[in-house]
Formats: sequence, C-alpha cells, structure tokens
Amino acid sequence: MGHAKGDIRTVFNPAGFVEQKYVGDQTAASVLRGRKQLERCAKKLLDEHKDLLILIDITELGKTDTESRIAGVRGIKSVPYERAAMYGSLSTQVLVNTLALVAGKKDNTRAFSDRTEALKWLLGRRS
Amino acid sequence: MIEENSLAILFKDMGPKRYPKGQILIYEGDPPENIYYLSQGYVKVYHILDSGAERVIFIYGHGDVFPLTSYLSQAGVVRYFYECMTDVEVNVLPSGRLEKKIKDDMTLGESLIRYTYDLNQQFFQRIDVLSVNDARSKIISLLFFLVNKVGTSAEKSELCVPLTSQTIANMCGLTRETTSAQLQHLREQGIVSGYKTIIVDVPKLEKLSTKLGIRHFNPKS
Repeated sequence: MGHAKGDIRTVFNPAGFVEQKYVGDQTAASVLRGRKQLERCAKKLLDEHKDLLILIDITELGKTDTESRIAGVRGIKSVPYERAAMYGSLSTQVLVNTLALVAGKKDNTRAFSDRTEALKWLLGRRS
Repeated sequence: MIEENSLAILFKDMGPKRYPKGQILIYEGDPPENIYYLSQGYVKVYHILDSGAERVIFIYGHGDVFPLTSYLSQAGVVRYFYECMTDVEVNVLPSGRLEKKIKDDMTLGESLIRYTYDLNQQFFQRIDVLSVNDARSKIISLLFFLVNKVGTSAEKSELCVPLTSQTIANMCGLTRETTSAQLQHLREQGIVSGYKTIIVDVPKLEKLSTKLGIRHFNPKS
C-alpha cells in the first residue's frame, strides 16, 4: 500500500504540548500546512504566556524532496518553539537533525528513536 | 589534495593528516567531536563481540565522510571503532565548525542529506550480507559490497585492501574455516583469484548470483 500524500495531523496534548504527526510523502505545500498549524498553536500558547513544546511523530514519514526540505528549514526557523522532539527511524532522525543544523536550532530540536525517549527530553527540562 | 565533490568543500581549510595502517581514529564510546574526510586509504568500522571477536560492519574509502550518522543522529557517542586498514590521509573538521559552516547553507545541507542517503543504501547492502542464511550467499553478497567499496572499476576488479580469510569471516559472521572453504570453491570456478590481493571476476560473480537467486545491490552495475 502506498503512502498517503503529505498528511499532517496536529493536536494539543492535555499534558501541555503540541503533537504533530507526518504521514506519507511530503511536498513543500504539505510542510507549509504543518507549519501554519504549529504557528496557530504557538499563538494560542503565547496568548496564555506558555512555551511551545512540540512532539513530532515521523515514524510514518515517506519521501521528501528538496522543496519540502527547504520548507522544513523555514518552518524550524519561523515557529517560535522552546523545544521540539521528534521520533522515527535513524534515517529520518538524520534528516531532521540536518535540517535543524541548517536552521541554526540544533540545541532545541532533537530526534530520537522512540516516543518515550523523545517525551523524556521534551518534558524533562520543563521548569 | 582534496578532490572536488559536494562535501569536500567543508574540509577545504583543514590541512591533511596522515595515519598509519592499524591506527584507531575513533574509539567506541567517543563523542563525535570530529568529522573526517577520507582523501586516501581505507578505514574499517567494527565492534568487538562478547566473545572477543571483531565484527567488521563497514569499510570507508576515498571521498567518504565519517562518523556522520553518529553526529547527525545526535547519538552522543560513536558506537564503533574506526581503524585504518591501510595508511590513510584524512582532513579533520571539528563538529562545532561543521555546525557553523552548515548553518543557513541549504546547499550544504542537501549535500549532507544526499550523502547520508547514499550511505544508508550501502548499509542496506551490508545488512543483505548479514541477513542471508548460507555461507556461500553471504560471501557472494560480501564480494559485491567489496567490489563497490574497495574494488577497481574493471571486469576483473582488484580489491585494494588487505583481506585475509579471517577478515572476510569477520565481515560475514562466519568461521575462518568455512570462509576459506567457500573462497576455495569460488577460486575453482574462476570467480576469485589472487591471495595477497584478491581479484574478483565481476561478470562471473553476477552470473553465479543470478543462477543462485542471490539478491544483491551493485551501484556500479
């Protein structure tokens, strides 16, 4: 079965962070949609004087192309998050960490192999 | 002299360093503080099993960059030993400087992403070697990997690293005795020749693997 084209779901987790899941092959447009969803969450939290913490599930991420990766870098740069933890396969970890390096947000963006590790890092440093 | 390729530009300012065969460049458990560009020679990547045996995971050759996956996955430490199989020349870039160079440079970022993707394909090839069940298939799959990584571009490809039966056994997870017997069988079929330097007849190897239904990945073909 093929991947769905660029499906992104964003929800508020009651534990106080935003969860986003990327499914299937991504395009610049789909990544931009995901970015807009995060920016809306960021605004809501900013209004409540809260930090934006993001947990991103990339276990079902499909293919990416240059345009979608450029859109990813722009998203990492523009969304005012405190920390973003992602989890997925080693190759997707390498991909998002490289994008975070290009965006200059290596220290507050981290990829892990599983959700537990990612959550531990995301919430462990919360003041 | 660094050959111009997409990642070489990162290492342009770093003068070459030379290390002799047998020198360990990175120890298992080290943080990935430096990134190496291999301009000459070969480096093997291995770990040591509980039995004390060495299990060779991968071989890096000219133009390769390591330990990039350890660094880019933010694993914190390198999981394997990196040892010179021959005399080598490398350019060493502190990972902090890599971070500065790549910041806001999507072209370099893309080069890194593409390079690590290609590297993943080569790792899959190694997994193929280790996942097949019988000794003959393991050795045939390994020969394809070696031709790709350390072989000359000729029908009779010369493997440019010293490979003993023990080294090949370590790369396949076989005993030296089984490996020697299988290599002897391939010599008798004219697929492998030479001892100090192993030569692989690639068309004959491809013919045999097709006949036996052995799946292999050969980017040179």
